[in-house]
Amino acid sequence: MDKQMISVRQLTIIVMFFSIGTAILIVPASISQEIKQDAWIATFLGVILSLLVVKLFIIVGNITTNLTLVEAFENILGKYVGKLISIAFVLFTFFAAGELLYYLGDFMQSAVMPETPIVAFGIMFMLVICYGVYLGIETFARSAEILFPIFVLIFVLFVIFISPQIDIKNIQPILESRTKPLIHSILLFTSIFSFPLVVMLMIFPASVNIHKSASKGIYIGIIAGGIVLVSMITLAILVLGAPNASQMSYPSYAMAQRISIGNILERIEIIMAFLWITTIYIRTFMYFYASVLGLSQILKIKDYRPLVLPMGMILIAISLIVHPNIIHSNTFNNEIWLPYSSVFAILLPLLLVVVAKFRKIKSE
Amino acid sequence: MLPTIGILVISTAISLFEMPNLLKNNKTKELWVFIILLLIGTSLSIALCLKVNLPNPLDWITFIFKPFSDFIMTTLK
Amino acid sequence: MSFSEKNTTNSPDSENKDSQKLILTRLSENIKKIKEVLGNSTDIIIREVGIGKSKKQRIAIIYTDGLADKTAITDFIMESLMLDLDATLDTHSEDVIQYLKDFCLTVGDVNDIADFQTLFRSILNGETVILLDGQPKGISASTKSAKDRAVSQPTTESVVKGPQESFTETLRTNTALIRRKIKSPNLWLKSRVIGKVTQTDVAVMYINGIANDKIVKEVFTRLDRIDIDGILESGYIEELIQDSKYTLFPTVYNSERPDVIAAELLEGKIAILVDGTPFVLIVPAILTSFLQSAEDYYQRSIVSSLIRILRLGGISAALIAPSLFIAITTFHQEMLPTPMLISIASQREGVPFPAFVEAIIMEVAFEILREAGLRMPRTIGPAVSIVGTLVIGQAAVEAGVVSAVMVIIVSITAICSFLFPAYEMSSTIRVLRFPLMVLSAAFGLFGVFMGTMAIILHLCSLRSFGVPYMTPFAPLVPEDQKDAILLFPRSSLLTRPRLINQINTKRGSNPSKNDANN
Repeated sequence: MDKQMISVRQLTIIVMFFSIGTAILIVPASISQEIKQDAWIATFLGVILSLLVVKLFIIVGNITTNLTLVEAFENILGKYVGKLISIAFVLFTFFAAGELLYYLGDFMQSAVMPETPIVAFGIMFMLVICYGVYLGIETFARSAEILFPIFVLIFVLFVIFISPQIDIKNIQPILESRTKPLIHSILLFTSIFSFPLVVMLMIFPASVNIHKSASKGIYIGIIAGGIVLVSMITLAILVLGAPNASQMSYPSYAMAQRISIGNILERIEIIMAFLWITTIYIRTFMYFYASVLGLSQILKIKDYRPLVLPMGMILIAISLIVHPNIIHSNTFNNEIWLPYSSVFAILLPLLLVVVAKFRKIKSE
Repeated sequence: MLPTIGILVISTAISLFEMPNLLKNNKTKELWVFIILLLIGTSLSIALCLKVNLPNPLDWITFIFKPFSDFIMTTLK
Repeated sequence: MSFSEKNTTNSPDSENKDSQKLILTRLSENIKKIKEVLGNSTDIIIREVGIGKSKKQRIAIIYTDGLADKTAITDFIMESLMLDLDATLDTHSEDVIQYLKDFCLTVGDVNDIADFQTLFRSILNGETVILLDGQPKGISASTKSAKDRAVSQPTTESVVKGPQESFTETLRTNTALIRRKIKSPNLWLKSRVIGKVTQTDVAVMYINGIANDKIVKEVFTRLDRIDIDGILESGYIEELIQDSKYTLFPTVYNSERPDVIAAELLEGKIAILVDGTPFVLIVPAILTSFLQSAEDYYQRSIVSSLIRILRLGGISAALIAPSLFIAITTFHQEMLPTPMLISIASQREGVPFPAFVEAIIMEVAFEILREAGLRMPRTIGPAVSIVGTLVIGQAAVEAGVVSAVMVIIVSITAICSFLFPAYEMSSTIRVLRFPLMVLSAAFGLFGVFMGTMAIILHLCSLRSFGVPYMTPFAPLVPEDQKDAILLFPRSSLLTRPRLINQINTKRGSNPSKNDANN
């Protein structure tokens, strides 16, 4: 496939959508369990911490100009070690995509359409994603650009519609929680919010037009995503109250169900569902694209397109294997995801940076 | 039974979609990778249909990282 | 700007050697060959006379009855040759042909003919061919008759306020109509002859200095690649030069209005005119071309903006209204306000089919009605449409086959699909409605979302001659937003669309070759 380039604006939008991901749906629940109504503080600090994480990624990106992450692994760490790590990375993104697919199916089934089997949603979703991956990152970036204004519009409407139900007492008392759970929540949030952005290194800097403003674009994307999430979680606490928010599976959806304008606009939560279907779509696409592209680069195949459909098929199967039920998924996300993703998001980039600097010193 | 047939039909459709192109352009490596991946996908899907208990890779990952997770939990509780 | 410019470069080499042969010197042999090739067709008139002092120089005047202007031939050619010719003409000098051309033939457009292919093309184009005995060359004089349909109102694109003329089937009239609107010397016209059997004249017009040279070159490359028997309508050309065959969406715009074509030319696009059809093609075409009407520019900008928003809403409704209805009534009943829900439920009480089947029946019925209505003779038309309304509307509802609300939805959808100023887009939308309905019946609004995303992905992947189809939405071009959905006042429309032409971006500046170096 010819080299596909995306613009900085498209990158920013993708970063924003990607970071919001599933967080928009589950963050209020998983975080406020421990620290209750201070969850918004944790989110806010988590966004700031994420800026540092992103800085690490950008440093890696600056080292690996014109290479995707998988190519960089082999380039910097040597052929065998690099290939091994690349395979691990591809598996990481692939399983993550499978998890997302399961998550989407479970959400749609439990909240919206109980009679449809989860796999049906998975297949439907995968068809669109496979089509998108087939068409390439450039087309996908354009579609993200088009979804962006619709997303913003619906999000703003959501905030406006739900605000009559805010009860400011719900957020008090402030800073009641102790430090350690707060730190844990911050880390948890960051691991869901920004650690997965390591996947962006598959398209940055290889496919982006102008390098310098691309870094700025990524920061803007992260901040924008952070704004959305902080608002979301703050609203969840304000509207639902901390105890409720922490116990619901999908607090944002519950909020959307409560919207009632003039007795006509009621129960329009499915339109709000558009918000998270969009962000999950973008995130699943990026994970899947990274794994397909990564695999093709490990095997030194030039055109990844023949791999898309078979891998899509495997992914649907994987999505049904990885989590037998939603409890398993929640446990995994709350306990295992933090150390697991930090390996790929923190350790590996640090490794790359260190080894690259080392080799540069050696060669001088 | 029926889902299994459906999966086989889909696999055939996928191969009909991609294989002519691969064969025509003599891309042997891609062809092999394609076939292997397709076989994995088909067998996994059929196994799922027949309710075979498949190992869960995330469980292995959980196994590896549980110590770290416990460590974090205890220090940050 | 000679129209009968001999363009032998584009004709494929498959012509048999015979036609490349030069005209023979002996007139009788030439005439025999012409009669043979043309099969003695009785509308090819061959008139042999002798001219000159002693009537010794034999010539033949050949033309096609019906295509050539007989008055012009009589007055300008025959009279000049037979009566006014200088009696002292030296009959066998070398420059008899030059003499005739310079002093005798009082017709505007004369050319030399050396081979049979050009000769046949000239005759069949309506020109008059003069062959001289003893000369290896002939003369063709342009005497094309201007018998064609008068310039009348457009049939498919009417506006309330604006020019009411439309193109006709004659190429020369159409190019003249465009020239009347754009009197710049930079409006260039290049001709091609496409179609091995039909030998259709095709003209390409663009404003040099504004149009993107790369796209111009690409247009000619694609036109020259066409290898087909006949071109009967611009739709043939459209199909043969478009970027992708596998899409429902048109990537070439067409119009039968000169003002629309002129406006597009001013933006740097390229017009392709085909003889025999009033529909002129415009490339490159992006999605917004199909959403805009000429009238938007003739009215106040605020009014136009509002109408455009209305149009956009209507078009979205045409696409997803049936799907939304099916999805909401089947899966998401909680979204409807209770009174409305009760009313719809009671209407659908007696209907035996699920909403999806009902919708499909209605939509298919309407499509049949619409298609039949196009082909009906004018005399039966009104009667059948009344029957259609009565049958579908009243009787079906009362028989309990469909519910009244479904009829309303389908009618709204149908009317909205005609909001498209461009006809082909409305066909596309009509077709796309059906897969969306299937998706909504199976997966509710989730299915509609997925279907819409798939359509958006598809639209984003399309290109028209290298320009992304969804410009100016994606890639986002902020300067072009002033003419995308909303229309800003004319004083703000200072720049031309960026991706289509990057040379001459400011309107109001005279296009010149110097700008190409910017």
